[in-house]
Amino acid sequence: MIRFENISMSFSRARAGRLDVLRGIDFQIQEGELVCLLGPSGCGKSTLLNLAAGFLVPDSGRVVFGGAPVSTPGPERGVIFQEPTLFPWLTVFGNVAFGLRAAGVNPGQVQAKVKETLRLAGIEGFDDQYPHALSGGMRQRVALARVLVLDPKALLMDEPFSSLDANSRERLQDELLRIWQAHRRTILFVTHSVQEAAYLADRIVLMGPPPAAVQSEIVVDLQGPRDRNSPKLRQLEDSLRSQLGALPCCHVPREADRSERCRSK
Amino acid sequence: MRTILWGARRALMPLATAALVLGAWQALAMTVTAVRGVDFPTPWTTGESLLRLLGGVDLADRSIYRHVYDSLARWAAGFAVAAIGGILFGLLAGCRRGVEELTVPVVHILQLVPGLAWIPVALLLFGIGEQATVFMIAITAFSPIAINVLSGVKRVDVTYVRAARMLGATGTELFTRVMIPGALPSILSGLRIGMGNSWRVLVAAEMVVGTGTGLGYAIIQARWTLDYQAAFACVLIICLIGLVLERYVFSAIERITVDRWGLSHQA
Repeated sequence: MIRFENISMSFSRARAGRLDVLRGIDFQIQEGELVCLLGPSGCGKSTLLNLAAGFLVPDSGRVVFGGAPVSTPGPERGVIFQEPTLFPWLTVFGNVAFGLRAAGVNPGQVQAKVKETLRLAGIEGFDDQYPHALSGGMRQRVALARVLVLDPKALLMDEPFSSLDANSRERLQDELLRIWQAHRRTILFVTHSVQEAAYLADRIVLMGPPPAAVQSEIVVDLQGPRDRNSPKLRQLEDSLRSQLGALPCCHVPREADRSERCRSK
Repeated sequence: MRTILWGARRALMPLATAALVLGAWQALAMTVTAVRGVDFPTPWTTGESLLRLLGGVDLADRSIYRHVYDSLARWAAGFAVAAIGGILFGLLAGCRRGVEELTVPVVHILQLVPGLAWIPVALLLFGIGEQATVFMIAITAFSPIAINVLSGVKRVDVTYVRAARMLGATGTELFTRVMIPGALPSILSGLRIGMGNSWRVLVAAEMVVGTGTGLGYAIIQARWTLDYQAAFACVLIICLIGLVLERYVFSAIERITVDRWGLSHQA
C-alpha cells in the first residue's frame, strides 16, 4: 500500500551546512496493516511521515502509494498531526465538513456524513462549538473525524496522542483500535513511546539516529484485543526499550518551508 | 458584594473619565480667558453651539449634517480603496517572496511620510477637489493595512496550510478558507490603524485642499468667522464619530470573529 523506496533526505541548516536526516530508507506497509514507526525523538520519523503525506519531497528515492508515486498531499492519505491543528475559525461541524466541501459534496450529504462520522468518533453534541472550547482529547477526536469523513485509504498519524494526558491517551488508543477493527485502513503511526507501539502495532519499524535508516522490524504476533498488563506485552516493551536505549539520542531541527504556504496547484 | 462593587465600578468609570476631561477643559478655558483675555470655548458654550448646529443652523453655508455626510462619504471612498488595495497587496506579498522583497521597502517609506505632506502631490495629481482628498485618505491608510496583512499572512501556521491541502483544498480555496481567516486578527488591526490615520488626515486635508464642505472645511471656516464655539463643536463631532467607528464597528467585528475563535489579539 505504502512503499518507501530508497529514500534519502537532508535539510539545510543555518550556518551548519546540510544535515542528512534520512539515508536509504526502504520498507513497505501492507494494505490494512498498522505499522508503528518508533525511534528516539528527532530521528526523522516525522520527516518520513511528511514525505508519505506529500508535504515534503525526498532528495532521492520515492514514496509509492497504491501504485502511484506521491507528489502532493491528498484526502486519500489522511494526516493526524501531533497538535490537532483544527481551523480555529470553523466550528466542530465546519472542521469536519471542510474536506467534503472542498470536494464539492452537496450540502445534504455533507450534513449526513459529518453527523455519522462525529458519532463514530464519539463527539456528538458539540457541532457548534469552536475548537478552543474543547479539551485536547476532544480536539484530537475531531481531527480524526475530519479525515475519517473523507474515507481515506490510509491514515498517517504523527505522534497524535503524545500531548494528551495519560487517561485520554489510552482512551483514544482504544478508540483508534475500535475504528480500525471496524474498518481496516492502512495506518502509519509515528511514536516515541514503546508502550504505544507495543499496544497498537502489527509491526514496528525501529529507526536509528540521523542519518536514519531502518534499524530493525519487529512483527508483533499478539492477536485480538491486547491487555495492557499482559506479560507478553510487557516483554515486548522491555525488548523495544532496550533496543531504543542502545541508540544515541539526537535532534533534528524542525523544518519549515515558506514556499509551501501559498503554493497553488 | 464584591461583584456588585465591581459592576458599579465598571459602569461609573466612563462617567468618571468624562468628568475628568470636562473638568480639565473647563479649568483650561477659565484660565485662558482670565490670562489672555480671549473667549476660549467652555464645555457649556461648545455644547450650546453643538445643539444649535444639530438644530439646523448653517455653518459655512451648509447644515452640519451635510458636512458630516460629505466627510464620511470621502472617508469611506478613500478607506475602501486603501482597504482593498492593502489587503490584496498584503496577501500577494505574503505569498510571493519576490514581491515582498521588491516592494516592502516602498511601503515602509510610504508609512514614514506624514499625511499632510501628500498635499502637494495630491494637488499636482488631481487638482483641487474631491479626488485629491480621497487620494490622501487612501495613501495614508494603505501602508498600515498592507504591512499588517502581510505580517498576518506570514504568521499563518504552516500546519494549517498542510492540513487544508491534505483535506483536498487547492489554490483559491486555500486562500479564502485558510489564509484570509488565519490572517484576520492582523487584517483587523491593520484596518483599525488605517482607519485612525485616514480619519485624521481627512479632516486635515479638508482644511487645506479646498473641498467646500466637510468637517475640516467647517472648522477652518468657523475660525475665519471667529466662531470658535462652532469649531470646537465640530472637533467634538469628529471625536464622537471616530469613537463610534472604533467601538461599534471594529469591536463588533472582532467579537463575532477573532474573539469567538479564541485567537489572541495581535498588536
